[in-house]
Amino acid sequence: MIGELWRRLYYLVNRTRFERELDDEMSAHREMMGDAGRRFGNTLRLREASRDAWGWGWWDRLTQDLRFATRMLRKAPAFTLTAVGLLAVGAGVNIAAFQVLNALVWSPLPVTDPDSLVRFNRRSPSGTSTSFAYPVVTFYREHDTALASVMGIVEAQVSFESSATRDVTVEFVTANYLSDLGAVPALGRLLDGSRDDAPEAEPVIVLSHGLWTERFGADPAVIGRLVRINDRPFTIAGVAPPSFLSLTLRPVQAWMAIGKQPYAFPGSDTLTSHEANPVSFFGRLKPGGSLAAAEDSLRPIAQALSRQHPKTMWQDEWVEAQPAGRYATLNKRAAPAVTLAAAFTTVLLLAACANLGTLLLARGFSREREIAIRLSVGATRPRIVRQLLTESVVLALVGTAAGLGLSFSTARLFFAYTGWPPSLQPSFDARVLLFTLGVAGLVAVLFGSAPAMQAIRPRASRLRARSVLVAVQVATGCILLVVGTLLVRGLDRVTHAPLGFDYTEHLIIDPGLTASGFTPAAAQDYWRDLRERIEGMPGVRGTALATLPPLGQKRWTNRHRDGTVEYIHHVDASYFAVMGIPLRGRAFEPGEPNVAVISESLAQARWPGEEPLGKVRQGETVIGIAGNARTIALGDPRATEHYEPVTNALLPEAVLIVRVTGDPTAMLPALARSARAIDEHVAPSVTILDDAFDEKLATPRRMAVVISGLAGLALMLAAIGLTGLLAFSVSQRVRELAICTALGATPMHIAAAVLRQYLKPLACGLVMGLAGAAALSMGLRSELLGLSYLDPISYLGSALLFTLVVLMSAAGPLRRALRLQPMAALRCE
Amino acid sequence: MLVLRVLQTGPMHGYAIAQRLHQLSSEALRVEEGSLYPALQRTLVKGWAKAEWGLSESNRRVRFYRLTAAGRKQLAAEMNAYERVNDAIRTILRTA
Repeated sequence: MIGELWRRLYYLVNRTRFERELDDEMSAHREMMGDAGRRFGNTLRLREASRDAWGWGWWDRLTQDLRFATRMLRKAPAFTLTAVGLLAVGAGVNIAAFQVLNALVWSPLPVTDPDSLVRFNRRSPSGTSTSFAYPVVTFYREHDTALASVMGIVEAQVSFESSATRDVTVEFVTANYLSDLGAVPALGRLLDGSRDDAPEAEPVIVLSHGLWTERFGADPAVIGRLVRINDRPFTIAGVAPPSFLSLTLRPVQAWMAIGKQPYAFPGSDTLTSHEANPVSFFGRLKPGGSLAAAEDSLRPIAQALSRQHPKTMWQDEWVEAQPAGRYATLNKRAAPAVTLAAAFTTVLLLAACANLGTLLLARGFSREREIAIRLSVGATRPRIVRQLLTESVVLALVGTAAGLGLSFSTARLFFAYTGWPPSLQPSFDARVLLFTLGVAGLVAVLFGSAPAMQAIRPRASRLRARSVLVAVQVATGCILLVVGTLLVRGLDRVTHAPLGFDYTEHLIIDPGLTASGFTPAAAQDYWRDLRERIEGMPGVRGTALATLPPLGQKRWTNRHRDGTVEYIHHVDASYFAVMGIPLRGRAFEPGEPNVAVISESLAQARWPGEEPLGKVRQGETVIGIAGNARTIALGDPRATEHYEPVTNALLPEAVLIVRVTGDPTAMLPALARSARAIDEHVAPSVTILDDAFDEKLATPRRMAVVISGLAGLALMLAAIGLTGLLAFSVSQRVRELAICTALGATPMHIAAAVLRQYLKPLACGLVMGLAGAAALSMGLRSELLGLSYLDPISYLGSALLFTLVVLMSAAGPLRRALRLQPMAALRCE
Repeated sequence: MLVLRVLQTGPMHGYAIAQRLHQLSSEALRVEEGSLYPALQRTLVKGWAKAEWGLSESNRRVRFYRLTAAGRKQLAAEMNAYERVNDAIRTILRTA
């Protein structure tokens, strides 16, 4: 067997010689036969048969087909370019979507050994949280055995040098953080456990590369200089490398030792309090360790903690470990978004292929004669089918390769547009390659078999092929349009729907009293002074205290029960008036115990159909019903609100909401000045609520833009495809239509004749499209943010728009059909 | 199989093989002589025969085919198989 393979290879290498020898041999034989040479047989066929005996026949045929295919494609540049363009768009979008997923889920963060990085969450049967108390983290660190290292991060906003606004994002981290992640300092040194962990250590700061370039002009002499953070001096110890990305994925501008947090925020109890939960808890597994092992090792420690601090630890609390080495994790919550993207792009690919099918049909028709000749000369049908398939495969490969190229820039654009860190880039790895090949294969199968079948089957099936193509194009276009409209309308609800509260005239003053170590009594004084001063200013309509600023960045608590999510707000009595939330009943009296105001939706859920005022629930009397105001979870239809008075203990955590008349931007400087004048140690941040709103809605808005773009693309593809198909159809029937016109057919007759054969597939396609859209959107209910997945406006509107597009597509070819001059048309064939 | 059998008697060139077949079958088998060549190529592929260039009786440059040991084995196997089939057919024709 090996000998045989060897011989075959030897033949392959010495082919020309072998064939020449064979030719000599056969001609010698022929000579020797003399007159009877006729009986020798067809030399050409014998030569081919002999060649085949060596087993490389398939290779010969393949290369022949490939060469022929490329030649045919080169000879028809318009067709080839259009086809490649269509495929590039269809396949490109698909591959781009995969690239996005690939980069998010599989691209490792730019740190060393990303697979061993873990993020920890607090879990209990009734809740989950991503933040821990600092003493708790220290406790875990001291008693743990399964982790190679433990890292903690406290995020903060500080003021930089002489600026009074706390606008610089920093992280207070455990000293091992930067070096453990594998960062190599661009200048100076990073935080060091041996030098920076001790409480009496010199306060040092490591700048981010961006901050160093921006504020210090990349001056190499910054090491050792003092810089004021929150007006406290820190020594610059080093600069992080430009590519460094913190595990929280936020644009952090500097890092300091976690032990220095109270130094930067005097009086802060962050490091000692069991009630504050500011720490993000990360760790590294030991080599060979697993997530489950880490969880198991932390479980008994959590239990020990629960025994020691039953009030601050949750019931049955345990620590959950999640991989932290990638930009995003694929979990159940992400599944609908992923399926949506996959379905959307696949349908788009189908649309592109249907379009391409039309092109191929037209081309196939023009090659009918050529194929007929070949058949008559002696080519077998399988051979011709194989050759046509090869052409389609070549086209598919070239088109998909173009799509691959396009996908890189598309993915990059997407990342930049949706605000991911610049270190996230689409990469070309084995997975992407495999996916691309898969797409190419799918594409080749989808439209490749069509021309082959068409070439050898009788005429009757051609009409069927065209009808199928029309139906597919209409269906895919419809699905994409309907789903796109649904999604955009759903997002629209979030951005434009009345939210139940006012936000256009509001500012938020956040003095960060907890971080500054204010006791409740001191906070009370502070608020009193501040409110007096602010309310005395012209243009201020009212102030209110709240622990949870609307659209705020603070962590919130909510209770999940019976399908509703209850957001707990601690506010003062003037909150409802200031936020413009209608209130039935009354608000709290100062110091009133055991009362609550609940939202309409919550009242409906708890006591459907009854009068909720006066009811008692969990020891609290309901004294007021507020209109629904989704200040936290804008798009969540299950959100309900529960308001309680701000207790003294919570005063340090509160923020002040200020309502002004007119444009809040104009009032900002004055308010900021007044706020700062109260206490020299406190530098409150003053923000405009509208800006927070814009920021929060940026993502849904951008997604809406992307989806609209894709749906528009689909619509365009359908329009182009249908126009092409109809034009082709008309050109085929020129003779018949010309005769009809000559015999006296009215324009209506002609139009009817042209369109009649497509009416059924059109209707079919519409029905399939709408049904398909319904099926798809049923699975996407969670993404629709409360909009019914059978929203009639979306469906009707899309159907109408699509019909309009179809009519417009038909306009061109119809016009041509109607303008046919019978004599001219019949003459030129 | 027939080609291999002919080669068993000794190395021959293509025309000689054709003649021999012609002779031995008492002209009962009349085939396209050229179809010999794909068959010969196949024997070369399979290693049942080896080919060398030489001079024919009429001093023409021809290729001589020689049976190899593997070829001999193949021939034996094929003849065996043929015998069995032949017997089976004969039995059926006689008795059925």
